[in-house]
Amino acid sequence: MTSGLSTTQPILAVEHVSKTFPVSQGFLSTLQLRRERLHAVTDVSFELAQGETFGLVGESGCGKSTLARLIVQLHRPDSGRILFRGVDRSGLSGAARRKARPQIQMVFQDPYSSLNPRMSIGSALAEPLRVHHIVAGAEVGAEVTRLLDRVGLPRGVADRFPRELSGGQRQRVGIARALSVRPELVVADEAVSGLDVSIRAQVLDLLADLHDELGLTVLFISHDLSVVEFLSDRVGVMYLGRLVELAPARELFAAPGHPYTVGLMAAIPSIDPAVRTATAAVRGELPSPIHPPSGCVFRTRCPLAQAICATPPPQVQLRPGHWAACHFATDVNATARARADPAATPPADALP
Amino acid sequence: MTDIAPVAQARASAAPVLTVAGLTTLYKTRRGEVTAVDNLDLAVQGSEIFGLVGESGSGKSTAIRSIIRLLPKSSARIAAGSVRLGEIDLLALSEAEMRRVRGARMGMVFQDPMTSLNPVMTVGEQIGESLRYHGVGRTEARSRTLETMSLVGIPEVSRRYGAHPHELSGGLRQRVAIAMALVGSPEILLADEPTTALDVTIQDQILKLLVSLRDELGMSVILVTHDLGVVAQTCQRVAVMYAGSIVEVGPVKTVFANPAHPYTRGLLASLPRMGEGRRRLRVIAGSPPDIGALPSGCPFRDRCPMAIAACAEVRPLLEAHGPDHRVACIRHAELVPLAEPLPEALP
Repeated sequence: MTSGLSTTQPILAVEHVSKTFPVSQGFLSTLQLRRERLHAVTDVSFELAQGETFGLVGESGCGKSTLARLIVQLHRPDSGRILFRGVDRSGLSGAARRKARPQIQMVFQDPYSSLNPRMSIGSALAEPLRVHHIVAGAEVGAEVTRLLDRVGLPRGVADRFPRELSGGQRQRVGIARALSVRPELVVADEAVSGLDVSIRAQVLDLLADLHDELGLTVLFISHDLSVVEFLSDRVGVMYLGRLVELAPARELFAAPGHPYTVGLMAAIPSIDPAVRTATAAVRGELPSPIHPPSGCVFRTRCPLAQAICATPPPQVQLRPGHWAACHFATDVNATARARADPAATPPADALP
Repeated sequence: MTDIAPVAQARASAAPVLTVAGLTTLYKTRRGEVTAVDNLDLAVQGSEIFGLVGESGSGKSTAIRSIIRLLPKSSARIAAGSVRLGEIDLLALSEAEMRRVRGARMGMVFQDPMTSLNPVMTVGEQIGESLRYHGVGRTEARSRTLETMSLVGIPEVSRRYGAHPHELSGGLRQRVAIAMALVGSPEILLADEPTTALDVTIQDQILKLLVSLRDELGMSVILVTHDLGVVAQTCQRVAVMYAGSIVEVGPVKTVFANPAHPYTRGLLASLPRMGEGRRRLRVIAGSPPDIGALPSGCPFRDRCPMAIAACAEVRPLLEAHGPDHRVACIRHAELVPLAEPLPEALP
């Protein structure tokens, strides 16, 4: 069980990272001096410990995918820095950069878009093995077979093409490709979204197994809190570019400290028909990320909002390893938190 | 909360609003015709939200598009069956007669409102268009449009009346699409994955809107979804579809508490539930079926942990499992109560 308090160096440290994008407003805007900017990620900090699965959850526009792309260096932060094993990889160049590239791999929502339609699955898996000299040339075929076994695909898939596979099989290929270069960190961005329920269950089981058996460190990003909670040791909740809460997964569920987390959980349709509510859990719509609200960005939709919420919220420590960015964090779920005493619940390791 | 408002109760006592019998819809493919919807029966009561749930390829969307006759003409055809709305059989109507039914007696909402909204027309004009088509005057159409826009929770209606779809958020666009479907006061609303493209907090708002509209207006709804949670939170009855057929149908509370088809059981067990921690989720092996290449007999048997030799012989028909609860499985009577562990899935 990882707590985020470990004294060893984190595998990944995200430190006060912000990223904005210019907003394209057509031809005339190019004549203006001051262009508006979309605030995609604002002052986000967190750490990933070796071997943990860290979940990032939030709705569209919360900045979770931008954060993923910052971590795999598809974007460069405007401010702040991202350290991988203590090294800021944006400073690397030449051979050091090439050598570092396999360390972090990404799994996308639909690997169909990242697979070459004219390349067989076997060739697609062999390519990164050759490029990064993962195994000797003669060993490549055996390694491809091992990878297919690893992700639960029949070996015959090696001779097939992406269009011949189902969505679930393609996602397994995407995972195999990410694993092929033996990464230390896998960033999975909506890796099970869009899959049918029965297939999603199979891929979630696979990801849980890979974590357990390979000791992989995973940053698992999804809009679906139930999926994130299932897979993750710790969870960060994002809203409008900010990280608003961070907690061990089970504690987040049992005693959320941010009103947005409470609303997000209540908005998920429960499969128990006996539990129905008549009113929506969170009112209103997402404010513009070009002109986010001052102070707490959730205050325009928050049931607890007061005048003070127009000032920036403090990061309130609720328990070791659990904080929420809310002026009223200690009031949000005080009773639920008391019940969530870890001594009263079996540790996660005791689960089958 | 399954209790229905008074208006609704009055309608509920009458005969079904919509009765589908023996509906069979075929798609043309390069391999010949395949059966997307196979001999489907269902009856929707007044003021009822009826859920049609299934994975991709189950035929749920084809089924409701067959009901409202919005199938692509070049690639699909209804081969058999009847769809009765009150006293009329929709499948016997001419295209012109069917147009008079759509909008006036039957409304439809799609997954992505951007595909059903006209990008160059104001939302007010679009909502009022079907009223104008059905002969309502300009002034009355405008006032009924504004009224319907407030009914579906669109803020600042007089300003939004002149807005274009691209100026609205996804949630507001779906409210506009619902207003378009409701402005003619239909008896039944068909909703095909109406919240699938929306964020979860907005989905929650739209689902609650649908339930409150049903309570206020007393209309019936067929809600097509892949999400069992959406069904549990909104529907009175549910039909689970697999490979073009209904495999289980009954009151939501009964089906969720005591699913009687191995597929329904598997689907419910495949969902991670918050606070439950880690466990194996994979109960259903394999992938959703290719409707062009179904196994003989029960179409679910190659994924079913309970399959036996007899399952290959005939496609099972719906049989009574309990009050108002029917299931298409030859072994439904042998199913252990849900408190017992589920049988291990086949590799």
